[in-house]
Amino acid sequence: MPSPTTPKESIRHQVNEAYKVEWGRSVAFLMRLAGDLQTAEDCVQDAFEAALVYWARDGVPNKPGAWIRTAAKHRFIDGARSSRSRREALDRLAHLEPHAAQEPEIENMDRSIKDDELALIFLCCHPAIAVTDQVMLTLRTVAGLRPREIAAAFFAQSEAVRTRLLRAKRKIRGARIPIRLPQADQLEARVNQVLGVIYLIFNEGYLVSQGDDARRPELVTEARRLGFKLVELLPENSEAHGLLALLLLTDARTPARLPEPDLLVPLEDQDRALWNQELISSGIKHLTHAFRQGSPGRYAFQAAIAAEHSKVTSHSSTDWRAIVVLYDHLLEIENSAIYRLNRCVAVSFADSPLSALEDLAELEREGALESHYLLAATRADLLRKAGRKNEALNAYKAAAAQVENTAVRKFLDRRVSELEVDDT
Amino acid sequence: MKYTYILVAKPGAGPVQGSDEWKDYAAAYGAWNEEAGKAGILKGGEPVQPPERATTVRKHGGEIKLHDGPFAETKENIIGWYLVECDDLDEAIKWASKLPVVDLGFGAIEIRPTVDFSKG
Repeated sequence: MPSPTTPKESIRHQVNEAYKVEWGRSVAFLMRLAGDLQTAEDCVQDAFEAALVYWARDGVPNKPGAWIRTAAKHRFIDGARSSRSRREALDRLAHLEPHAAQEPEIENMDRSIKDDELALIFLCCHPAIAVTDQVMLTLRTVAGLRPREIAAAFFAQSEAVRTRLLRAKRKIRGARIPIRLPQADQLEARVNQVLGVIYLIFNEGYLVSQGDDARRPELVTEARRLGFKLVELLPENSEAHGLLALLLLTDARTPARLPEPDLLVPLEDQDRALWNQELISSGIKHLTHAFRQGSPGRYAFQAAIAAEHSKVTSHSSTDWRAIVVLYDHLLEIENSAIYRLNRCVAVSFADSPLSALEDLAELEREGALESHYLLAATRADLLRKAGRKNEALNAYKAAAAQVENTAVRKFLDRRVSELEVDDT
Repeated sequence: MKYTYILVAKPGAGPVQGSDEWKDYAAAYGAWNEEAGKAGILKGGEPVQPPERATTVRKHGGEIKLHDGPFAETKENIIGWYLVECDDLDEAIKWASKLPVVDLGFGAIEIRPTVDFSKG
């Protein structure tokens, strides 16, 4: 990263850095005062705008987060006290001590700020809110993405995202969805809901469902950041560690998986020297935590499967038997068609493509994943490995017709042309 | 905060009135009413007769027009309502989940927060 040159750029850079870390916890803190998400966000937004001005004048405070929260709190009190214009209210912030962090009531709040932030995450992922809105609220309110950034990541209109966010916030206020830590009997289900939202964000970033690029780095980054945040807030939770491990181990392959933005390289052809070893060792660390902390769940087992790949230096030395066993554990937790599909791939290496095709046929008879390109693409791969070229060719073509992502379609087309060349 | 529960069920769902099963079902409502009453959340509620006996009133062209039936044809019929006062939506969800129509899987409850005009 090039170091900022002029002071103005430097301040902007430091405010941005503070924004990444402090946005969510500041909204959480303000939410407790204001009782309304929109108001909380507006106050925090104003505080960051004020920071640009006053940090340039007075220097960056020792505790930027405490400064932001104090400024946002003053902003809220001002707004609540009178109908003074926003400009005037911002000017009043000039009277703030540059090192407002010294305010003891805020300084000693670390523990409660963590609880507030966790409660805010649970609020955004409340099951009474539609899942799409949970995803958008989490990105906006916890991660601090702007509506236009969320819109870009999901190929939506900014205005549509704003409307959805506003509607969700109105429901929170109108129906009085509480901001608090879930009760013990609800905790597991609510944590799973949060993990599910983070996993959705990651998946959409890791392989976008439609469009030209295979990956949306900003969504992957936010999902990873949220994963770290959750582990920090719930250090005892096995699945929080499991999910983070899964995200890190999966994303570690990106440099080999996507050497160019739309060139997708399948696992068996990846140059493993390009895998990010730092992410892998961090992932293994959290995977170990997940298994040490009691009963591992679906994310821990998926991470364990990813770790089997990370352990070995070549595709041919993969312990496919171990992977099949891990899929069996996973299927005991949740009988998902996607897990079964992936188990077929493991079986094709552990056993033979033909026995994998038999398992796949069973899945197809049940009608699961019927119009999902992955089903046809997996069958195509298995047929190719079994040497049944013509059938493979048809299956690749069928898969290419179902997929909505250009990079994946290019990959499937590549397979088609390889087979056709091979044929002549 | 007050919430209205709108209880709905598909026609024919639930036990036949007068059967032993129905007596248990009715008793389960009785138990819920008692528990909710003791907790101080129950503000009112009644079961309602089937939609065939509904009358919809509307003013059209300055004249009152009656329609024999419910205001909208839906797959699930309104079978009753409650008015409860809870701290928040979580508490309202907790109580709704325990009502027999949900608990025994015969139907569903729509929870509508009521409008409070006293808080401008």
